[in-house]
Amino acid sequence: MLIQMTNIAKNYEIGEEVVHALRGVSLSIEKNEYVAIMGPSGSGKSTLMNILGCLDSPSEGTYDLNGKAVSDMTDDELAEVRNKEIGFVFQNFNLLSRSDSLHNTELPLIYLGVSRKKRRELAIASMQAVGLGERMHHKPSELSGGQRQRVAIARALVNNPSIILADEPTGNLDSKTGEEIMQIFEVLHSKGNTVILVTHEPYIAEHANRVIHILDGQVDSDKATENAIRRANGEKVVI
Amino acid sequence: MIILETIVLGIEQLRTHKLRAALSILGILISVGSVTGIVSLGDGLRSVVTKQFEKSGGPNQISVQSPREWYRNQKGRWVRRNWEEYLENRDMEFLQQASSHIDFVVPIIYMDRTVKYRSATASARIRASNQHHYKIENWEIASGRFISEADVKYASKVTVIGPELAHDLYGSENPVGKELRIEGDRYLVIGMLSELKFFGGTNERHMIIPYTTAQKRIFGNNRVSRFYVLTKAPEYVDEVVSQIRYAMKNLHEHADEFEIETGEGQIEQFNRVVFILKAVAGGIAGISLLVGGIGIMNIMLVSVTERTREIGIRKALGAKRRTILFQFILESIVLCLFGGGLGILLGIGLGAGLSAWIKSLTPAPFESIVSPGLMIFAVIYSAAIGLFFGVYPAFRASKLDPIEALRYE
Repeated sequence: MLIQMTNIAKNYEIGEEVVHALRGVSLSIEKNEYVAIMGPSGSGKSTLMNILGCLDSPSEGTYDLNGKAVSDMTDDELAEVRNKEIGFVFQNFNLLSRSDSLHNTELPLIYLGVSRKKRRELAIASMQAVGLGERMHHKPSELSGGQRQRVAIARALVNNPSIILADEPTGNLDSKTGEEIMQIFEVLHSKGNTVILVTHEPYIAEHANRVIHILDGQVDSDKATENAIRRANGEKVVI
Repeated sequence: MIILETIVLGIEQLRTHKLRAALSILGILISVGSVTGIVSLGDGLRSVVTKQFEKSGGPNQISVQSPREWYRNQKGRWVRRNWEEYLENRDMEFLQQASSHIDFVVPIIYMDRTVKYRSATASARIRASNQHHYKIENWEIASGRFISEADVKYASKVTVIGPELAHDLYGSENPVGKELRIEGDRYLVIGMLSELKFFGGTNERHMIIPYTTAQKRIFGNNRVSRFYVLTKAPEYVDEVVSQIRYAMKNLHEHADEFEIETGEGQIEQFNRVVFILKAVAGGIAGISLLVGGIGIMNIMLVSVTERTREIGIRKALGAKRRTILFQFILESIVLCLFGGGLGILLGIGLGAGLSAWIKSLTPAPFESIVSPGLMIFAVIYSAAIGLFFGVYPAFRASKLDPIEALRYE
């Protein structure tokens, strides 16, 4: 099991009041799954994503990622897990604006301590995988939204993570570009990557094999999509 | 490797905010510049004085002085001592016989007198001495000759005068061969000194006569204000000092009241003065560097706030606390080193400019000296300022919560 969450709760203290963002979420995700996490704003979806992405620790419960008990880890240990296990794709891209796309792509490798030469190779390969081989020395401001998100995906892929965690990856893109980005996730999934999408758009969630609905800090439903059945039958999925 | 990346990042940061970087390093630049300038001047001064000192036989030199006639008593009042004891010719003769390490002895009697030539008068600083006197002062003869051994032996009424004195008495005429009067006595001018090429002491109003002449014709005694003993080599100085003390004990009742000073002692004193000068300059610069450091801290805090999102991104991608800490400290150090480096250049320019200015005021062979030690110190000190004032902003950056930081607009 790649991800095993048991009774995860997250409480925030805001003044006197305690807000229960998550109230006992249990879920497991296997390697090479394609999961969408859905839910309205305020449902705890973002908190769950932060915990899944090791950006935050749960107040209660256990979270095992790739055999490691990350729920008990310190900040620096979590940073290391994020570096090795997780590839983030954000709604607003979160690229370093002053660095070119190649440098943005190789950033996780710098923190991993990969040599300069090796880093270049991996980053170039990763950029070619998302179809950006020609734009390596452009800065984010010189790229379109879709290209920026491709850089972000290249960056997420570069350290060969256990999961690719995409938070509203098409939220800032027009629908045509959004579809192109979703095609990339499709390809990544078919190549064996584990992809977790966080979205509130049903038609985006439809790309996944499995949709987990979060409501009021709990898992409301956890179902396979029609795509999953098609894929299971060996049909090609074109959306 | 991360170090290299971080340095590159720091320099990039400087390049993107050129004006801001320039303004923030101004404090460091000015303080490193001024301290480098002042210390290079101090080192230059010390070097030129040391050279002069060695040329005048300073390391071989021992000064023996008659006891002071006036002293401060326990109540703090100036009183005249009630006994009379002075250095005399016999002290000199005794020493020259007693020690084989002495090269020569220069006796000096100091007095200020008004001298006359026809209707012209001038005040002269008279030094009654012997034929060796010019050696201990680095004086040179512009025309004529210095007093000779024979002049001393026969107490001749001859004199060598400084250039300004010559001008006051004789205008543009050559003074050699002319006469002048000291207290009604006629003296023959046998030589004129050339202008002293060294700041501090000037020889322009000086006038040298044989000490024997002064003793016989002016004072009517055998006293000497002071004498300089020149040893044959610097390593004999200590031995000769103890020989002098021994001689004083034999010849004088108040032997301990005679001041004995070595040239080394004098140069040490001078070095102490230069050191204090440098320390004061360094202190002032240190304070201004602190102010500069606060400027750096301010700009780094602004930078951390501005780049909150960048910090969030880096943390999300796996940067640890210490990586972020290190990144911002290094940026601060790079900033300060940049300021310090420019400051050193400024200081070299400042030192050169000031020494050129001093040279234009006095005819001294003076150059500011920027020693490698000084440059290394300036570099290390600016790096230390960067480190010290970079720690707090960097700590703030390292503490940021990645989720909050990613959300920061």
